[in-house]
Amino acid sequence: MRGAAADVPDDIARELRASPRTGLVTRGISKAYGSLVALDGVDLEVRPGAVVALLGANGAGKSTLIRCFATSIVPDSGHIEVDGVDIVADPGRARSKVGLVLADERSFFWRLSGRRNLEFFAALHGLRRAEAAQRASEALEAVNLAEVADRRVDRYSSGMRNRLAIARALLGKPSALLLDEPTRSLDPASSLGVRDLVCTLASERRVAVLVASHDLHEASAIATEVVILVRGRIASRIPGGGDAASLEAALVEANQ
Amino acid sequence: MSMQLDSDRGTGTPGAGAGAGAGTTVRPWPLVAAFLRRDWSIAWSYRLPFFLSLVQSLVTLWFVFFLGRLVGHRVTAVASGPRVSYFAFAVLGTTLLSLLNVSLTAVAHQLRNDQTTGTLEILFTMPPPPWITVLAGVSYKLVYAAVTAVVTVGIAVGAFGMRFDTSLVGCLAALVVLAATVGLFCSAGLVFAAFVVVFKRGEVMTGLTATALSLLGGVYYPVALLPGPLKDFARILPFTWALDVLRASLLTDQVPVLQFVLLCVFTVVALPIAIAIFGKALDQARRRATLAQY
Repeated sequence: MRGAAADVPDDIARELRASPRTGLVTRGISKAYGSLVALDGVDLEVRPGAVVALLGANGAGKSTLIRCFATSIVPDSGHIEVDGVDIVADPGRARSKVGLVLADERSFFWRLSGRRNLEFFAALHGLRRAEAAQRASEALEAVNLAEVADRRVDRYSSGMRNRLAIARALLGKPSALLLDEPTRSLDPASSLGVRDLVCTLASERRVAVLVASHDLHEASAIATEVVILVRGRIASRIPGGGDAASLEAALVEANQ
Repeated sequence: MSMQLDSDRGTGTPGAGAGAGAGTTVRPWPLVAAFLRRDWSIAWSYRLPFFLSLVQSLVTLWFVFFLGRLVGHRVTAVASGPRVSYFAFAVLGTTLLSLLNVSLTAVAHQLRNDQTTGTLEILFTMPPPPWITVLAGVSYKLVYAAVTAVVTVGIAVGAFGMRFDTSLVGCLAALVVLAATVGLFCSAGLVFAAFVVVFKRGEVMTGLTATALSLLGGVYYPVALLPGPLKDFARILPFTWALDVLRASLLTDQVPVLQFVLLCVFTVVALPIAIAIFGKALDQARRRATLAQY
Protein backbone atom coordinates (compact mmCIF):
# COMPACT_ATOMS: atom_id res chain seq x y z
CA MET A 1 0.00 0.00 0.00
CA ARG A 2 2.93 2.35 0.52
CA GLY A 3 3.65 5.09 -2.00
CA ALA A 4 6.23 3.11 -3.88
CA ALA A 5 6.98 3.52 -7.57
CA ALA A 6 4.39 2.25 -10.01
CA ASP A 7 3.59 2.64 -13.69
CA VAL A 8 3.24 6.34 -14.34
CA PRO A 9 0.39 7.37 -16.66
CA ASP A 10 1.44 8.90 -20.00
CA ASP A 11 0.17 12.40 -19.17
CA ILE A 12 2.18 12.49 -15.95
CA ALA A 13 5.26 11.09 -17.71
CA ARG A 14 5.00 13.86 -20.33
CA GLU A 15 4.52 16.46 -17.61
CA LEU A 16 7.54 15.19 -15.70
CA ARG A 17 9.71 15.30 -18.81
CA ALA A 18 8.60 18.86 -19.58
CA SER A 19 9.00 20.10 -16.02
CA PRO A 20 11.08 17.86 -13.79
CA ARG A 21 9.95 17.79 -10.17
CA THR A 22 12.20 17.77 -7.16
CA GLY A 23 9.53 17.60 -4.46
CA LEU A 24 9.66 19.24 -1.04
CA VAL A 25 13.06 20.21 0.37
CA THR A 26 14.24 22.02 3.49
CA ARG A 27 17.81 22.81 4.46
CA GLY A 28 18.39 23.81 8.05
CA ILE A 29 15.13 25.65 8.57
CA SER A 30 14.40 27.05 11.98
CA LYS A 31 11.42 28.81 13.50
CA ALA A 32 10.93 30.13 17.01
CA TYR A 33 7.90 31.75 18.65
CA GLY A 34 9.66 33.96 21.14
CA SER A 35 11.60 31.62 23.38
CA LEU A 36 9.70 28.55 22.14
CA VAL A 37 11.63 26.74 19.41
CA ALA A 38 9.23 25.15 16.92
CA LEU A 39 11.76 24.08 14.28
CA ASP A 40 15.47 23.77 14.81
CA GLY A 41 17.67 23.19 11.79
CA VAL A 42 15.37 20.76 10.00
CA ASP A 43 16.74 19.05 6.86
CA LEU A 44 14.05 17.16 4.98
CA GLU A 45 13.45 15.85 1.49
CA VAL A 46 10.22 14.47 0.11
CA ARG A 47 10.89 13.31 -3.42
CA PRO A 48 8.14 12.90 -6.03
CA GLY A 49 6.30 9.67 -5.35
CA ALA A 50 7.42 9.50 -1.73
CA VAL A 51 5.18 9.68 1.32
CA VAL A 52 6.95 11.06 4.38
CA ALA A 53 5.08 10.82 7.66
CA LEU A 54 5.90 13.28 10.43
CA LEU A 55 5.40 11.86 13.89
CA GLY A 56 5.87 13.61 17.19
CA ALA A 57 4.20 14.82 20.33
CA ASN A 58 1.95 17.88 20.36
CA GLY A 59 4.11 20.96 19.84
CA ALA A 60 6.94 18.98 18.22
CA GLY A 61 6.81 21.22 15.13
CA LYS A 62 4.81 19.09 12.67
CA SER A 63 2.16 21.66 11.87
CA THR A 64 4.71 24.48 11.78
CA LEU A 65 6.70 22.58 9.15
CA ILE A 66 3.56 21.93 7.10
CA ARG A 67 2.59 25.60 7.34
CA CYS A 68 6.07 26.70 6.24
CA PHE A 69 5.62 24.65 3.06
CA ALA A 70 2.11 26.10 2.66
CA THR A 71 3.51 29.70 2.89
CA SER A 72 1.42 30.50 5.99
CA ILE A 73 4.55 30.77 8.13
CA VAL A 74 7.91 32.21 7.11
CA PRO A 75 10.87 30.38 8.70
CA ASP A 76 13.43 32.46 10.60
CA SER A 77 16.34 30.89 8.75
CA GLY A 78 17.25 28.12 6.35
CA HIS A 79 16.11 27.23 2.86
CA ILE A 80 12.73 25.77 1.89
CA GLU A 81 11.52 24.89 -1.60
CA VAL A 82 8.95 23.00 -3.61
CA ASP A 83 9.99 21.71 -7.03
CA GLY A 84 12.98 24.02 -6.99
CA VAL A 85 10.87 27.12 -6.20
CA ASP A 86 12.12 29.02 -3.14
CA ILE A 87 9.01 29.30 -0.97
CA VAL A 88 10.16 32.39 0.92
CA ALA A 89 11.29 34.30 -2.17
CA ASP A 90 8.47 33.22 -4.45
CA PRO A 91 5.41 32.15 -2.41
CA GLY A 92 3.01 32.88 -5.26
CA ARG A 93 4.55 30.22 -7.53
CA ALA A 94 5.05 27.84 -4.65
CA ARG A 95 1.35 27.96 -3.72
CA SER A 96 0.31 26.80 -7.17
CA LYS A 97 2.36 23.63 -6.64
CA VAL A 98 1.02 22.46 -3.29
CA GLY A 99 -2.29 21.13 -2.05
CA LEU A 100 -2.98 21.70 1.63
CA VAL A 101 -5.19 19.80 4.06
CA LEU A 102 -5.40 21.46 7.45
CA ALA A 103 -6.49 19.77 10.63
CA ASP A 104 -9.00 22.63 11.01
CA GLU A 105 -12.20 21.55 9.32
CA ARG A 106 -13.74 25.04 9.59
CA SER A 107 -12.00 26.17 6.44
CA PHE A 108 -15.12 25.88 4.27
CA PHE A 109 -18.11 28.08 3.58
CA TRP A 110 -20.67 26.16 5.56
CA ARG A 111 -23.76 27.69 3.93
CA LEU A 112 -22.63 26.36 0.54
CA SER A 113 -22.74 22.80 -0.73
CA GLY A 114 -19.58 20.73 -1.00
CA ARG A 115 -19.72 21.09 -4.77
CA ARG A 116 -20.12 24.89 -4.63
CA ASN A 117 -17.21 25.11 -2.21
CA LEU A 118 -14.95 23.12 -4.51
CA GLU A 119 -16.03 25.07 -7.59
CA PHE A 120 -15.15 28.28 -5.76
CA PHE A 121 -11.72 27.04 -4.70
CA ALA A 122 -11.10 25.65 -8.19
CA ALA A 123 -11.69 29.16 -9.56
CA LEU A 124 -8.93 30.39 -7.24
CA HIS A 125 -6.64 27.99 -9.10
CA GLY A 126 -7.41 29.97 -12.26
CA LEU A 127 -9.90 27.51 -13.73
CA ARG A 128 -12.81 28.80 -15.75
CA ARG A 129 -16.33 27.96 -14.63
CA ALA A 130 -16.82 24.81 -16.73
CA GLU A 131 -13.33 23.51 -15.94
CA ALA A 132 -13.85 24.29 -12.26
CA ALA A 133 -17.12 22.33 -12.25
CA GLN A 134 -15.44 19.40 -13.98
CA ARG A 135 -12.45 19.41 -11.61
CA ALA A 136 -14.74 19.68 -8.59
CA SER A 137 -16.76 16.66 -9.74
CA GLU A 138 -13.59 14.62 -10.26
CA ALA A 139 -12.29 15.56 -6.82
CA LEU A 140 -15.63 14.70 -5.19
CA GLU A 141 -15.57 11.30 -6.91
CA ALA A 142 -12.01 10.71 -5.73
CA VAL A 143 -13.00 11.08 -2.07
CA ASN A 144 -16.38 9.34 -2.40
CA LEU A 145 -18.47 12.43 -1.76
CA ALA A 146 -20.26 12.54 -5.11
CA GLU A 147 -23.55 11.39 -3.58
CA VAL A 148 -23.64 14.22 -1.05
CA ALA A 149 -21.98 16.82 -3.27
CA ASP A 150 -25.03 19.07 -3.30
CA ARG A 151 -25.64 18.92 0.43
CA ARG A 152 -24.64 21.99 2.45
CA VAL A 153 -21.32 21.64 4.28
CA ASP A 154 -22.94 22.47 7.63
CA ARG A 155 -24.85 19.19 7.20
CA TYR A 156 -21.69 17.17 6.59
CA SER A 157 -20.20 14.98 9.30
CA SER A 158 -16.66 15.76 10.50
CA GLY A 159 -15.35 12.90 8.40
CA MET A 160 -17.09 14.22 5.30
CA ARG A 161 -15.55 17.64 5.84
CA ASN A 162 -12.13 16.04 6.18
CA ARG A 163 -12.62 14.23 2.89
CA LEU A 164 -13.84 17.46 1.31
CA ALA A 165 -10.62 19.13 2.48
CA ILE A 166 -8.65 16.42 0.70
CA ALA A 167 -10.75 16.94 -2.42
CA ARG A 168 -9.97 20.66 -2.26
CA ALA A 169 -6.26 19.94 -2.03
CA LEU A 170 -6.48 17.97 -5.29
CA LEU A 171 -8.19 20.75 -7.29
CA GLY A 172 -4.99 22.40 -8.50
CA LYS A 173 -3.40 19.06 -9.51
CA PRO A 174 -0.57 19.72 -7.07
CA SER A 175 2.88 18.20 -7.34
CA ALA A 176 3.09 18.13 -3.53
CA LEU A 177 0.46 17.35 -0.91
CA LEU A 178 0.64 18.65 2.66
CA LEU A 179 -1.65 16.76 5.00
CA ASP A 180 -2.05 17.77 8.62
CA GLU A 181 -3.81 14.87 10.36
CA PRO A 182 -5.95 14.03 7.33
CA THR A 183 -7.77 11.08 8.92
CA ARG A 184 -8.27 12.58 12.37
CA SER A 185 -12.08 12.42 12.37
CA LEU A 186 -12.59 9.58 9.97
CA ASP A 187 -14.14 6.17 10.59
CA PRO A 188 -11.90 3.19 9.81
CA ALA A 189 -13.35 2.58 6.35
CA SER A 190 -12.96 6.23 5.35
CA SER A 191 -9.43 6.30 6.75
CA LEU A 192 -8.57 3.34 4.62
CA GLY A 193 -10.01 5.12 1.58
CA VAL A 194 -7.91 8.21 2.25
CA ARG A 195 -4.76 6.12 2.72
CA ASP A 196 -5.40 4.35 -0.58
CA LEU A 197 -5.94 7.69 -2.30
CA VAL A 198 -2.72 9.15 -0.88
CA CYS A 199 -0.72 6.11 -1.95
CA THR A 200 -2.25 6.19 -5.43
CA LEU A 201 -1.45 9.88 -5.84
CA ALA A 202 2.12 9.26 -4.75
CA SER A 203 2.80 6.16 -6.77
CA GLU A 204 0.83 6.90 -9.93
CA ARG A 205 0.81 10.70 -10.11
CA ARG A 206 4.31 11.11 -8.61
CA VAL A 207 3.01 13.54 -5.99
CA ALA A 208 5.35 14.26 -3.06
CA VAL A 209 3.33 13.75 0.12
CA LEU A 210 4.16 15.11 3.57
CA VAL A 211 1.71 13.96 6.21
CA ALA A 212 1.65 14.91 9.88
CA SER A 213 -0.07 12.31 12.02
CA HIS A 214 -0.48 10.83 15.46
CA ASP A 215 -1.75 7.57 13.99
CA LEU A 216 1.10 5.06 14.00
CA HIS A 217 -0.87 2.51 11.97
CA GLU A 218 -1.53 5.12 9.34
CA ALA A 219 2.12 6.16 9.22
CA SER A 220 3.31 2.60 8.94
CA ALA A 221 0.72 1.83 6.26
CA ILE A 222 1.44 4.70 3.85
CA ALA A 223 4.88 6.15 4.54
CA THR A 224 7.98 5.46 2.51
CA GLU A 225 9.83 7.20 5.32
CA VAL A 226 8.85 8.17 8.85
CA VAL A 227 10.46 11.21 10.45
CA ILE A 228 10.15 11.73 14.19
CA LEU A 229 10.28 15.31 15.43
CA VAL A 230 11.12 16.17 19.02
CA ARG A 231 11.03 19.81 20.09
CA GLY A 232 11.58 21.01 16.54
CA ARG A 233 14.49 18.71 15.70
CA ILE A 234 14.55 15.54 13.65
CA ALA A 235 15.24 12.88 16.26
CA SER A 236 14.91 9.85 14.07
CA ARG A 237 14.36 8.78 10.46
CA ILE A 238 12.90 5.38 9.66
CA PRO A 239 13.22 4.49 5.97
CA GLY A 240 10.47 2.24 4.74
CA GLY A 241 8.15 3.33 7.53
CA GLY A 242 8.35 0.22 9.69
CA ASP A 243 5.43 -1.28 11.55
CA ALA A 244 3.30 0.41 14.21
CA ALA A 245 5.03 -1.35 17.09
CA SER A 246 8.51 -0.33 15.97
CA LEU A 247 7.29 3.24 15.38
CA GLU A 248 5.88 3.36 18.89
CA ALA A 249 9.18 2.16 20.30
CA ALA A 250 11.08 4.71 18.23
CA LEU A 251 8.75 7.49 19.39
CA VAL A 252 9.18 6.57 23.04
CA GLU A 253 12.94 6.39 22.66
CA ALA A 254 13.14 9.71 20.79
CA ASN A 255 11.15 11.51 23.47
CA GLN A 256 13.22 10.22 26.38
CA MET B 1 -8.26 39.18 -19.50
CA SER B 2 -5.22 37.95 -17.64
CA MET B 3 -2.23 39.59 -16.12
CA GLN B 4 0.96 38.80 -14.32
CA LEU B 5 0.51 39.98 -10.80
CA ASP B 6 2.91 40.64 -8.05
CA SER B 7 2.87 38.81 -4.86
CA ASP B 8 1.71 38.90 -1.36
CA ARG B 9 4.31 41.36 -0.36
CA GLY B 10 2.80 44.16 -2.33
CA THR B 11 6.13 45.25 -3.63
CA GLY B 12 4.65 45.83 -7.02
CA THR B 13 1.65 47.27 -8.67
CA PRO B 14 -1.21 45.75 -10.64
CA GLY B 15 0.18 44.67 -13.96
CA ALA B 16 3.77 44.47 -12.74
CA GLY B 17 5.53 41.14 -13.14
CA ALA B 18 8.32 41.19 -10.60
CA GLY B 19 8.47 39.45 -7.28
CA ALA B 20 6.77 36.59 -5.69
CA GLY B 21 3.75 36.29 -7.89
CA ALA B 22 5.72 36.34 -11.11
CA GLY B 23 4.86 33.34 -13.20
CA THR B 24 1.40 32.98 -11.69
CA THR B 25 -1.20 34.00 -14.22
CA VAL B 26 -4.25 35.41 -12.52
CA ARG B 27 -7.40 36.25 -14.41
CA PRO B 28 -9.14 38.82 -12.23
CA TRP B 29 -12.60 38.64 -13.78
CA PRO B 30 -13.20 34.89 -13.41
CA LEU B 31 -11.91 35.31 -9.86
CA VAL B 32 -14.33 38.16 -9.18
CA ALA B 33 -17.13 36.12 -10.78
CA ALA B 34 -16.32 33.20 -8.45
CA PHE B 35 -16.53 35.47 -5.39
CA LEU B 36 -19.78 36.98 -6.69
CA ARG B 37 -21.31 33.51 -7.10
CA ARG B 38 -20.10 32.47 -3.66
CA ASP B 39 -21.44 35.52 -1.86
CA TRP B 40 -24.69 35.64 -3.80
CA SER B 41 -25.34 32.01 -2.78
CA ILE B 42 -24.50 32.76 0.85
CA ALA B 43 -26.59 35.97 0.91
CA TRP B 44 -29.52 34.17 -0.70
CA SER B 45 -29.35 31.49 1.97
CA TYR B 46 -30.15 34.28 4.47
CA ARG B 47 -33.15 35.71 2.61
CA LEU B 48 -34.61 37.88 5.39
CA PRO B 49 -31.51 40.06 6.03
CA PHE B 50 -31.08 40.32 2.25
CA PHE B 51 -34.48 42.01 1.91
CA LEU B 52 -34.29 43.92 5.20
CA SER B 53 -31.17 45.77 4.08
CA LEU B 54 -33.11 46.97 1.01
CA VAL B 55 -35.93 48.10 3.30
CA GLN B 56 -33.38 50.01 5.39
CA SER B 57 -32.43 52.10 2.34
CA LEU B 58 -36.09 52.93 1.73
CA VAL B 59 -36.57 53.99 5.35
CA THR B 60 -33.58 56.35 5.04
CA LEU B 61 -35.18 57.78 1.90
CA TRP B 62 -38.43 58.49 3.77
CA PHE B 63 -36.47 60.07 6.59
CA VAL B 64 -34.64 62.40 4.21
CA PHE B 65 -37.89 63.15 2.35
CA PHE B 66 -39.59 64.48 5.49
CA LEU B 67 -36.48 66.45 6.46
CA GLY B 68 -36.57 67.91 2.94
CA ARG B 69 -40.15 69.09 3.42
CA LEU B 70 -38.94 70.96 6.49
CA VAL B 71 -35.88 72.52 4.84
CA GLY B 72 -37.14 73.03 1.26
CA HIS B 73 -34.76 74.60 -1.32
CA ARG B 74 -32.37 76.24 1.04
CA VAL B 75 -29.02 74.51 0.51
CA THR B 76 -26.29 74.95 -2.04
CA ALA B 77 -24.79 71.90 -3.73
CA VAL B 78 -21.33 73.50 -3.68
CA ALA B 79 -19.95 76.61 -2.01
CA SER B 80 -20.83 79.09 -4.76
CA GLY B 81 -23.48 77.16 -6.68
CA PRO B 82 -27.21 77.70 -7.04
CA ARG B 83 -29.60 76.50 -4.35
CA VAL B 84 -31.00 72.98 -4.70
CA SER B 85 -33.63 71.02 -2.84
CA TYR B 86 -32.53 69.57 0.47
CA PHE B 87 -34.05 66.26 -0.53
CA ALA B 88 -31.83 65.90 -3.62
CA PHE B 89 -28.84 67.19 -1.64
CA ALA B 90 -29.29 64.63 1.12
CA VAL B 91 -30.26 61.71 -1.13
CA LEU B 92 -26.97 62.02 -3.00
CA GLY B 93 -25.15 62.46 0.32
CA THR B 94 -26.63 59.38 1.99
CA THR B 95 -26.34 57.27 -1.16
CA LEU B 96 -22.66 58.10 -1.58
CA LEU B 97 -22.08 57.58 2.14
CA SER B 98 -23.62 54.09 1.95
CA LEU B 99 -21.54 53.16 -1.07
CA LEU B 100 -18.30 54.50 0.32
CA ASN B 101 -18.99 53.09 3.76
CA VAL B 102 -19.06 49.65 2.15
CA SER B 103 -15.92 50.43 0.12
CA LEU B 104 -14.11 51.55 3.26
CA THR B 105 -15.18 48.88 5.72
CA ALA B 106 -15.98 45.77 3.67
CA VAL B 107 -12.40 44.61 3.10
CA ALA B 108 -11.52 44.68 6.79
CA HIS B 109 -14.88 43.19 7.82
CA GLN B 110 -14.60 40.36 5.29
CA LEU B 111 -11.04 39.62 6.35
CA ARG B 112 -12.06 39.59 10.00
CA ASN B 113 -14.95 37.29 9.13
CA ASP B 114 -12.57 34.92 7.33
CA GLN B 115 -10.26 35.02 10.37
CA THR B 116 -12.99 34.00 12.78
CA THR B 117 -14.70 31.43 10.56
CA GLY B 118 -11.37 29.78 9.73
CA THR B 119 -11.27 30.36 5.98
CA LEU B 120 -8.55 33.03 5.89
CA GLU B 121 -5.51 30.79 6.04
CA ILE B 122 -6.70 28.48 3.30
CA LEU B 123 -7.66 31.45 1.09
CA PHE B 124 -4.16 32.89 1.50
CA THR B 125 -2.54 29.59 0.59
CA MET B 126 -4.27 29.61 -2.78
CA PRO B 127 -2.39 30.80 -5.91
CA PRO B 128 -3.80 34.37 -6.28
CA PRO B 129 -1.90 37.12 -4.46
CA PRO B 130 -3.75 37.77 -1.18
CA TRP B 131 -4.46 41.44 -1.95
CA ILE B 132 -6.36 40.35 -5.05
CA THR B 133 -8.21 37.74 -3.00
CA VAL B 134 -9.34 40.26 -0.38
CA LEU B 135 -10.37 42.87 -2.93
CA ALA B 136 -12.20 40.31 -5.08
CA GLY B 137 -13.75 39.05 -1.85
CA VAL B 138 -15.76 42.25 -1.42
CA SER B 139 -16.98 42.45 -5.00
CA TYR B 140 -20.44 41.17 -4.05
CA LYS B 141 -20.82 43.76 -1.30
CA LEU B 142 -19.76 46.53 -3.68
CA VAL B 143 -22.13 45.35 -6.40
CA TYR B 144 -24.97 45.03 -3.88
CA ALA B 145 -24.24 48.53 -2.53
CA ALA B 146 -24.12 49.96 -6.07
CA VAL B 147 -27.40 48.28 -7.04
CA THR B 148 -29.01 49.51 -3.81
CA ALA B 149 -27.75 53.04 -4.58
CA VAL B 150 -29.22 52.97 -8.09
CA VAL B 151 -32.55 51.60 -6.80
CA THR B 152 -32.63 54.21 -4.01
CA VAL B 153 -32.00 57.10 -6.41
CA GLY B 154 -34.50 55.58 -8.85
CA ILE B 155 -37.19 55.51 -6.18
CA ALA B 156 -36.25 59.04 -5.11
CA VAL B 157 -36.85 60.17 -8.69
CA GLY B 158 -39.91 58.03 -9.43
CA ALA B 159 -41.77 58.17 -6.14
CA PHE B 160 -40.50 61.30 -4.39
CA GLY B 161 -40.03 63.64 -7.34
CA MET B 162 -36.27 64.20 -7.08
CA ARG B 163 -35.01 66.14 -10.12
CA PHE B 164 -31.58 66.24 -11.77
CA ASP B 165 -30.10 69.17 -13.66
CA THR B 166 -27.29 67.59 -15.62
CA SER B 167 -25.86 66.83 -19.05
CA LEU B 168 -23.95 63.98 -20.67
CA VAL B 169 -20.66 65.51 -19.46
CA GLY B 170 -22.05 65.89 -15.96
CA CYS B 171 -23.22 62.27 -15.88
CA LEU B 172 -19.86 61.00 -17.16
CA ALA B 173 -18.00 63.11 -14.59
CA ALA B 174 -20.24 61.71 -11.84
CA LEU B 175 -19.61 58.13 -12.98
CA VAL B 176 -15.83 58.61 -13.19
CA VAL B 177 -15.76 60.22 -9.77
CA LEU B 178 -17.88 57.44 -8.29
CA ALA B 179 -15.53 54.78 -9.67
CA ALA B 180 -12.43 56.71 -8.56
CA THR B 181 -13.81 57.30 -5.08
CA VAL B 182 -14.82 53.66 -4.64
CA GLY B 183 -11.26 52.73 -5.68
CA LEU B 184 -9.79 55.26 -3.27
CA PHE B 185 -11.92 54.07 -0.38
CA CYS B 186 -11.20 50.41 -1.17
CA SER B 187 -7.50 51.32 -0.96
CA ALA B 188 -8.12 52.84 2.46
CA GLY B 189 -10.11 49.68 3.29
CA LEU B 190 -7.07 47.59 2.35
CA VAL B 191 -5.02 49.58 4.88
CA PHE B 192 -7.69 48.85 7.54
CA ALA B 193 -7.46 45.20 6.52
CA ALA B 194 -3.69 45.36 7.05
CA PHE B 195 -4.45 46.60 10.56
CA VAL B 196 -6.76 43.61 11.12
CA VAL B 197 -4.10 41.19 9.83
CA VAL B 198 -1.62 42.47 12.42
CA PHE B 199 -3.82 43.47 15.38
CA LYS B 200 -6.86 41.22 14.64
CA ARG B 201 -9.45 43.78 15.78
CA GLY B 202 -10.15 46.74 13.51
CA GLU B 203 -13.88 47.32 13.83
CA VAL B 204 -13.46 50.37 16.03
CA MET B 205 -11.26 52.09 13.49
CA THR B 206 -13.54 51.41 10.55
CA GLY B 207 -16.66 52.32 12.51
CA LEU B 208 -15.14 55.55 13.78
CA THR B 209 -14.00 56.58 10.31
CA ALA B 210 -17.42 55.90 8.80
CA THR B 211 -19.13 57.95 11.52
CA ALA B 212 -16.64 60.79 11.12
CA LEU B 213 -17.37 60.90 7.40
CA SER B 214 -21.08 61.38 8.01
CA LEU B 215 -20.26 64.15 10.49
CA LEU B 216 -17.60 65.98 8.50
CA GLY B 217 -18.28 65.02 4.90
CA GLY B 218 -21.38 67.12 4.29
CA VAL B 219 -23.84 64.24 3.97
CA TYR B 220 -26.81 65.86 5.72
CA TYR B 221 -25.70 69.49 5.72
CA PRO B 222 -23.20 71.65 3.77
CA VAL B 223 -19.72 71.67 5.31
CA ALA B 224 -19.98 75.49 5.33
CA LEU B 225 -22.09 75.09 8.48
CA LEU B 226 -19.21 73.51 10.40
CA PRO B 227 -17.11 75.70 12.73
CA GLY B 228 -13.74 77.03 11.43
CA PRO B 229 -11.15 74.28 11.99
CA LEU B 230 -13.63 71.48 11.30
CA LYS B 231 -14.71 73.20 8.10
CA ASP B 232 -11.09 73.46 6.94
CA PHE B 233 -10.54 69.81 7.77
CA ALA B 234 -13.74 68.76 6.01
CA ARG B 235 -12.65 70.55 2.85
CA ILE B 236 -9.48 68.46 2.53
CA LEU B 237 -11.35 65.16 2.81
CA PRO B 238 -11.62 63.22 -0.46
CA PHE B 239 -15.13 62.24 0.61
CA THR B 240 -16.14 65.91 0.59
CA TRP B 241 -14.59 66.39 -2.86
CA ALA B 242 -16.49 63.38 -4.17
CA LEU B 243 -19.78 64.71 -2.80
CA ASP B 244 -19.06 68.16 -4.23
CA VAL B 245 -18.39 66.74 -7.69
CA LEU B 246 -21.40 64.43 -7.54
CA ARG B 247 -23.85 67.08 -6.39
CA ALA B 248 -22.50 69.80 -8.66
CA SER B 249 -22.46 67.61 -11.76
CA LEU B 250 -25.87 66.00 -11.20
CA LEU B 251 -27.83 68.83 -9.59
CA THR B 252 -26.35 71.97 -11.13
CA ASP B 253 -24.59 70.66 -14.28
CA GLN B 254 -21.19 72.00 -13.19
CA VAL B 255 -18.02 69.97 -12.75
CA PRO B 256 -15.58 71.20 -10.08
CA VAL B 257 -12.44 70.37 -12.06
CA LEU B 258 -9.92 70.67 -9.22
CA GLN B 259 -11.66 68.15 -6.96
CA PHE B 260 -12.31 65.89 -9.94
CA VAL B 261 -8.62 65.79 -10.91
CA LEU B 262 -7.45 65.47 -7.30
CA LEU B 263 -9.70 62.46 -6.70
CA CYS B 264 -8.47 60.67 -9.81
CA VAL B 265 -4.80 61.35 -8.93
CA PHE B 266 -5.28 60.26 -5.31
CA THR B 267 -6.87 56.99 -6.45
CA VAL B 268 -4.03 56.15 -8.82
CA VAL B 269 -1.46 56.86 -6.10
CA ALA B 270 -3.33 55.27 -3.19
CA LEU B 271 -3.85 51.74 -4.53
CA PRO B 272 -0.18 50.72 -4.89
CA ILE B 273 0.59 52.26 -1.49
CA ALA B 274 -2.29 50.34 0.11
CA ILE B 275 -1.16 47.10 -1.57
CA ALA B 276 2.37 47.64 -0.23
CA ILE B 277 1.09 48.28 3.31
CA PHE B 278 -1.14 45.20 3.16
CA GLY B 279 1.78 43.13 1.87
CA LYS B 280 3.99 44.29 4.75
CA ALA B 281 1.29 43.42 7.28
CA LEU B 282 0.85 39.98 5.78
CA ASP B 283 4.58 39.41 5.74
CA GLN B 284 4.74 40.32 9.41
CA ALA B 285 1.86 37.98 10.28
CA ARG B 286 3.61 35.14 8.46
CA ARG B 287 6.89 35.82 10.19
CA ARG B 288 5.15 35.95 13.58
CA ALA B 289 3.05 32.89 12.61
CA THR B 290 -0.17 34.69 13.51
CA LEU B 291 -1.99 34.43 10.19
CA ALA B 292 -4.34 31.71 11.43
CA GLN B 293 -4.94 33.42 14.77
CA TYR B 294 -7.98 35.52 15.55
